[in-house]
Amino acid sequence: MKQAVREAFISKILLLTALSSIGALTLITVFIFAEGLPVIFKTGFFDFIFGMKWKPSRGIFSIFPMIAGSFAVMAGAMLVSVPFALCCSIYLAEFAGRTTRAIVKPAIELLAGIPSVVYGFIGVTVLVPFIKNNIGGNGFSVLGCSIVLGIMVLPTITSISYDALRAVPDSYREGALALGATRWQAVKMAVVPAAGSGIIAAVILGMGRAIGETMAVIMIAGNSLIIPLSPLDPVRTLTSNIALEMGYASGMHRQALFATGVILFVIIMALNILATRVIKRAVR
Amino acid sequence: MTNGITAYDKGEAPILKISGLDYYYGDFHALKSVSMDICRNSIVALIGPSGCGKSTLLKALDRMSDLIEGSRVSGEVLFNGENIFGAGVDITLLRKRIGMVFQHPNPFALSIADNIKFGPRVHGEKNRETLDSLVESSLRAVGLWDQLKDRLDKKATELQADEQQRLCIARLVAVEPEILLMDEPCSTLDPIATLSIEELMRELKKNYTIITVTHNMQQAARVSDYSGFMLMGELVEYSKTADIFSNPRDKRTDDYISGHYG
Ligand SMILES: Nc1ncnc2c1ncn2[C@@H]1O[C@H](COP(=O)(O)OP(=O)(O)O)[C@@H](O)[C@H]1O
Ligand SMILES: [Mg+2]
Repeated sequence: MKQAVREAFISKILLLTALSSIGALTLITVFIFAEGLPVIFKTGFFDFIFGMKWKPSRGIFSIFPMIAGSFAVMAGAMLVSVPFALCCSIYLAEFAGRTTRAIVKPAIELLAGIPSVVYGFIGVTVLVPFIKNNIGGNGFSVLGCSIVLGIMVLPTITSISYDALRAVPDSYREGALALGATRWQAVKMAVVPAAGSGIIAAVILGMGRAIGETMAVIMIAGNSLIIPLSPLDPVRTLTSNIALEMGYASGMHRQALFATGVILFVIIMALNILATRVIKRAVR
Repeated sequence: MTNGITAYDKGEAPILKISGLDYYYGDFHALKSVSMDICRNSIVALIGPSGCGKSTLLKALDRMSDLIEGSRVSGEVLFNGENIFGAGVDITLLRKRIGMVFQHPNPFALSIADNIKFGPRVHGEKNRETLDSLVESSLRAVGLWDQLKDRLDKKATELQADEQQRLCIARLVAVEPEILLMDEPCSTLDPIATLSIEELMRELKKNYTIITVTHNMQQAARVSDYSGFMLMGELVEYSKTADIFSNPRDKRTDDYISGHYG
C-alpha cells in the first residue's frame, strides 16, 4: 500500500516536471508574440517581411535583408555540411570496422560539444583572414559563415543519418547482396533509399540548427544590412540582428527585435514540424 | 556408408555436385562432409530439426556465407562443373546465377517495379524498355502481374506477406538465375498462401532448379522430387522423396519422419 502511494507520488512529480517544460515553452511563445506582434501589425505583415529598410532611429522596421541573410548562410552551411555528413554517416554505418567507428563517431559528436564562441573565434582568426587574402572581399562573409556553420551542424546531420542507416534491417543488405550486388551497390540502391526519410529529417534538423546559431555567426558574418549577392558579401542574420541590438534597444525598437524573434521562431518551428512529419511517414 | 549422393536418374550431369563440404563457424563444425548431387529442373527439399545446418548449407551454395566473420569452408561444390570456391570466381555473377529467397520476405523499400529492376540494374542493364519488359515477364512468372500491373509504382513493403514473397521470387527471376535457393519460404505465411507458393514452385521447376529448406514434412512430401535429411551438420540420407518418406534407410531418418524428435 505504502509502496503504491509512493509510486503514485513519484509519477505525479515526473508529470509535473514534464508539464513545466511545456509551461516554459508556452510562456516564452506568448511573451515573444505579445511583445513582437504589435510592431508587425503596425508596419504591416507584408512590409515587415519583404521591406528592405531597417532604420531603428527613424522607426522603420523591415527585415528582408536579414531573412535573406539567414537563408543564404543556412543554404551555404548545407552545401558544406550535407555531402560531408552523408559520406561520414554512410561510411560509419556501412563500411567502418568496429575500431574505426569507436574512434570516429565520438570524435564527430565531440564537435557538437565545442562552444560556438570558440568556432567564432577560430573563424575570425583563421578563416576570415584566409578568405580575405586568398579569395577576396574583406573576409567577413557568407562563405566564412557557411564553412563554420557547416562544421557546427555536421554532428547533428551525421548522427541522425547514421541512426537512420543503422535502423535499416540487415535483410535489405542480404537481399541486395544475394542478387549479386556489390556492397556499395547494396548501400546505394537499397539501404540509403530505405533510410531516405530519416536522412531528409536529419538535414532539416541541421537547417534548423544553422538558422538558429548566433554567436559564431555574429563574429564572422560582418553584419552589414545588405542582401548578400555573392558568397564574399557580408551578411546579417535574424539571430545576429537580435543579439547585436538588444543591449541598447528600447520602446518600439525593442519590440521590433521581438518581432524578428517571432519570425525566427516560426521558421524554426516549421522546420521541426516538417522533420517530425517526415520521420513519422518513414515509420509508417 | 551410402547416403544416396547419386540420387539423380536422368542420365545427365548434375547442375550442382557437392562433395565433402565442411563448414565451420569459428570452432563450431556446422556442416560435416556433406555430399550430394542436384539434378537440373528438380526440387530438392532439405529437412531436419532446427539447428542441423540446413540454412548453412544453402548459404554456402551462393557464398552468402562468406559474409560471416570467422567462418571457414572446405570441400568442393561444382556448379555446371566449375568449383564455386575456386580462385577467380566472380561472386556477384555466382549470386546472379544462384539466387536466394529468404525466410522473411525482404522486398526493398522501393516501388514494386524498382524491386524487380534492382537485379538487372546491378548487373548493368540500363535500357528502359528491357527493364520494363523484365518487370512484366517476371511478375507474370510468379503470377502477380494481373493484380499488380496498375500499381507498379506502389511501395513494395506495403504488399501482403505472400505477395511480398512472390515479389522476392520475381526479383530473382528477373536476373535469370539457374538455381533458386529457398530458405523456409513459407514459414511466415498462412496455409493458403503456403499452398499458392508451393504451386508456384512446381511451376518454376520447369525453368529452374530449386533447393528448398522446410521443417514441414508434408510440404517436403508435396513439392519435392528429392529430399535430404540432415542431422547435426550431417546429411544422413538423400534420395527420392517418395522413397525417403515411405522407406527410409537410416533409423534416424525414420525416427524423425515418424515424429520422434524435431
Ligand atoms: N552466424 C553464426 N555463427 C555461429 N554459429 C552459427 C551461425 N549461424 C548458425 N550457427 C549455428 O550453426 C548451426 C546450424 O544453423 P542453421 O544452418 O541456421 O540451422 P537450420 O537452418 O537447420 O535451423 C546451429 O547450431 C547454429 O547455432
Ligand atoms: Mg534455418
